[in-house]
Amino acid sequence: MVEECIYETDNKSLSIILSKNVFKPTGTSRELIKATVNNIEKPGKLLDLGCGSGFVGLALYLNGKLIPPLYASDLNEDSVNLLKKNALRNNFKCIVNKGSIFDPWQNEKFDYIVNDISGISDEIAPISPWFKETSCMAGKDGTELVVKALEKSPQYLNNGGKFFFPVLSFSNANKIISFAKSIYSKVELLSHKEWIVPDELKKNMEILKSLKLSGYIDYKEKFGLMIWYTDIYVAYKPLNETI
Amino acid sequence: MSKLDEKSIAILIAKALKIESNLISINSSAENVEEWDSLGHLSILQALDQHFDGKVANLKELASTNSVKDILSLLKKNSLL
Repeated sequence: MVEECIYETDNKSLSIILSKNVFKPTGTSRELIKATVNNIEKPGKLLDLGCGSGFVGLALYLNGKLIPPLYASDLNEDSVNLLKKNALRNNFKCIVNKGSIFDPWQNEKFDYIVNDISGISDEIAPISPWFKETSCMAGKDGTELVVKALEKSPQYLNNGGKFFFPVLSFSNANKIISFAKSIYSKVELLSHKEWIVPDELKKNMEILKSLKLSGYIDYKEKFGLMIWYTDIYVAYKPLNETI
Repeated sequence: MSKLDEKSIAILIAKALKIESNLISINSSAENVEEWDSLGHLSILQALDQHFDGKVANLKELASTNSVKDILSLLKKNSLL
């Protein structure tokens, strides 16, 4: 049976087919869409980095936030093929490439880059509900991939371009934000959303406590629940931008 | 901080769940309100915490409440209603 995910906005909807080996959209995916939609005023050339099934990029397409085609890429070939399929079934134009971070986009520049590359601790990923059949590879503190993307991003942005990225508290959030501020003069928090720590993770409290003690992740106890969070940020005006 | 009565709590819960206020009554619970899932429950608790200026953050029993009656009972027990 085909698994499907629906996204709805303003009386329009999108149907996304999901696949076993491709990252499934999460609450963070929806928060990233919401924050990006609310921040982008003028449609532009948009890259969905770490596109997975295409849920984020195609939702932004549906919301009129990009000038077609949607540009998208993922390291996972199954993701690339799935996005092409999902774009076709929703009549959206896209250019999808396989590759790591910005490798597929040499000599390209974008108005908006939406980073959806995995960003949680490698020790959390396999015991979480989100990476059972896909890989994470973001390092023990979950920062490796987003830091690489941040570092390289300015050369792929047009003047005035923006880089949108989620920061999850199952990573070293402070390190990511500090690094973002070393690359961009403007780093703004667009949204903060709290979630209940899933049962699968609560079964591994020793791992969680150890990672928290080391500063690799964060969570808190509130209302008798264990809470973690997703922040969505936008970064713009690179520090090395020539005027 | 204003003291809420039972009707106001029902309205607060409806707002947190993003549904019409007439859909929440004293008999509403996670079992009969579709939007009252775990995320909805967290939204309710956060709305209560905001209204009570952080006074409910340490009420551990809130984790196991799943109905309007449970919430009202706990708030009364802690002299917040």
